[in-house]
Amino acid sequence: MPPQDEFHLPRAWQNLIERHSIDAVVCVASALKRGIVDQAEAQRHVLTGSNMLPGFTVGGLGLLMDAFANADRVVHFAP
Amino acid sequence: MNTTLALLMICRRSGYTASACLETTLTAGVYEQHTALVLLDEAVTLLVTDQQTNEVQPKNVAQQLAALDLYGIDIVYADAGALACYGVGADSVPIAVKQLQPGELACLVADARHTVVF
Repeated sequence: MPPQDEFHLPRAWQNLIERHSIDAVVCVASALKRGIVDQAEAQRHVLTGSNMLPGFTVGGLGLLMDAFANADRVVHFAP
Repeated sequence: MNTTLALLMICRRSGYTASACLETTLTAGVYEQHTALVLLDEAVTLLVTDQQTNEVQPKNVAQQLAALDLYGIDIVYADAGALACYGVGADSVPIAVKQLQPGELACLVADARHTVVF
């Protein structure tokens, strides 16, 4: 969660995916590694709460492969 | 050069990123996506044998590398310049690799349906 006077990047992503009905999938392993869980993952790991913003869903590599197989292009943002 | 690649996985880093790249590449094999793996820059150090990673925690990728062939990933390229730069002898690596010469990467990218960079 960024400070109030800074740009809220997660919320900006959330607005973008809601406005354009984008299927936004978060890698479950990467999210877990960084302490981000949705409600289902929180229950599975016996955590008292979830912290993933609404609009995002978690998925695995199988979903990524399905996207590769059906997408006309892959756009990759490298740090 | 292969002209029917569904996926070209390019790995430029070692450590967790490399492990994630190998995991994704193996999954592509499971889903029978014709895939090639390219190791560039420090990623060629994955090919150093007998790595002892216990002290510094990262996952040892030796088993993942060995599994590539079993999962149908039989094309692995390693950048010739990076191999020389990091002192990795192409004849002493644990898996079969093709040395990638300058200019060849562009052909691979052009021929692959999708390219993913780690």
